[in-house]
This record gives sequence, C-alpha cells and structure tokens, in this order.
Amino acid sequence: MNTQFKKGVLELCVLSLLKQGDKYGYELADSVGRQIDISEGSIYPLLKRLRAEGYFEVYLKESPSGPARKYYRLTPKGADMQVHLENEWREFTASVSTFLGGDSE
Amino acid sequence: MNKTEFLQELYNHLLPLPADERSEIIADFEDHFQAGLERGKTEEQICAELGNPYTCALQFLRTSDTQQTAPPPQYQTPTPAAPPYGKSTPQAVYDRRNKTLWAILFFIVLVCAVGVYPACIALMLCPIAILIAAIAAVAFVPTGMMVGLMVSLSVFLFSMGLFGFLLTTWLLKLSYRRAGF
Repeated sequence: MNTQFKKGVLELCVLSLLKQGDKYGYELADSVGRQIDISEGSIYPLLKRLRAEGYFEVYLKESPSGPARKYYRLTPKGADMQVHLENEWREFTASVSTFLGGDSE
Repeated sequence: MNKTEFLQELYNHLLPLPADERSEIIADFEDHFQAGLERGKTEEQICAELGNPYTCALQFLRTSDTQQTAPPPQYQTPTPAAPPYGKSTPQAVYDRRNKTLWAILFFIVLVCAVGVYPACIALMLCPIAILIAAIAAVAFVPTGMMVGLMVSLSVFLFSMGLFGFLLTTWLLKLSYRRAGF
C-alpha cells in the first residue's frame, strides 16, 4: 500500500484505539504495527503532533514491572475528531467500493 | 542495529530541536524498548519494527516546523541545563565539562567571597575613619593640600571597595547560573 495513504489513515487508527481506552506508546505502536505494514517509529511523531493539537493528553501511571509509563487519553476534541474521521473514512470507502465490486451497477 | 545505536542516531538527527523536546522523544523511545524487551523481543527485533531512525527524526522535525513552537534552530541559544543523551555526543560532553568548570569556579569564588566581602565593606567604610582623622588633622595643620589628599584617598578607597564588592557578586551570580545548580 502507498506510504502517504497509510499515513493519513494512521491518525484514524490511533484515535480509534484510544477511544477503546487509555494506552501507552508501545501498545499503540504495537497494535498499529500488527495490522498495518508501517514503521512503528512513525507512530511517535504522530502522537506528538496529535497531542500538540489537543486531541489527547498524557499522564504517568506506574507499571507493575518497572518505571512509570506515559499513557495517552483522548480529549473531547479528540473524540470529535475520531467521529469526524470515521465518517469520512466510511463515506470514502463506500464511494471507492462502488467502482470495485462486480455486484454494483 | 541495537538500542544504543538506534537512540544515538535518532539523537543526532534531532539536534535541531530544542533540548527538552529532544530528551522527551528519546525518553519515549527508551520506554518503547523497555516495553518491547519485557515482552521477550530482542533489541534488534524492536529496531527492525521501528524502522529507520533517520526517517523517524525527519517526521519529528517536520512536525515541529509546522507547529512553529520552536524558534528556527540557527537562532537558538544553547541550553546548558539540558540533560544530554549518551556519553559519546560531543555536544553533551562539552556541556557537562563546561558545567563542571563553572561549578568549580563558583566554589572558588564562594570561598574567596568570605574574605573579600568584609574587606570590601571595610574599604567602603574607610572614608568615615579618614573624615574623623581629617577633622582632627585639619584642626592642627590646616593646609589645602592635606584636605585634598584626604578627599582623594577616601574616594579611591571607597571605589576600590565598591568595585570588589560588585565584581565578586557578579562572578558568584554568573558561575552559579552557568553551573546550572
């Protein structure tokens, strides 16, 4: 898949993952990396940008095994953005799929 | 590539960023390695999943540019208080060595100040003693030259005291700030 295309979708993936619950950097990178073939390193610049734009905030939480971890939590603004992007994605894929399947006219 | 190599390369490419931003990014990646190792991955595996540190650094730099949070790199003043990553970065070694030198200077000046301050205060108070002496002297030998000598001696001693006082204070403040206590 095209790299630019994947990067655009990455934002939606991260926001959707955080909608399910707070996560720390590794969990986000790992979850995305498992599903989409992308360098996990590019998750961190994205996290930094989305945080700066106010889509989520961070807090430290003790981990059972070691030092405190940095967790990411979706803000109301981030939740709105997630809904907006998800709708856009659904509309877009619906439009694209009209060109694909043999069953549509 | 292992963890140290990855972080070192990332650090080097992030040098245009402000030091606090850079160390936060490095800390995030250190946590990432830590979490990966806890799950039984090797440093090499984690590096392979993370991809190229240079590409990654470029994305950080681009993000920082668009936000305009930081002034352009060429106008940045070096921040000596920044915690540098790794021992082998020349800038880091330079910062740390510099700080140590300032700290040593601070303590030397501090020790000297114990003696210098009372001396300077005494010098500044000298004119009072000279004035008393002058009143007594003029009463016996009322010559213009005597008065002139007394006045110039007073001014000289007072300014020496003031100069010493200000110089010591300035040195103390400067070395304290540069040492980054």
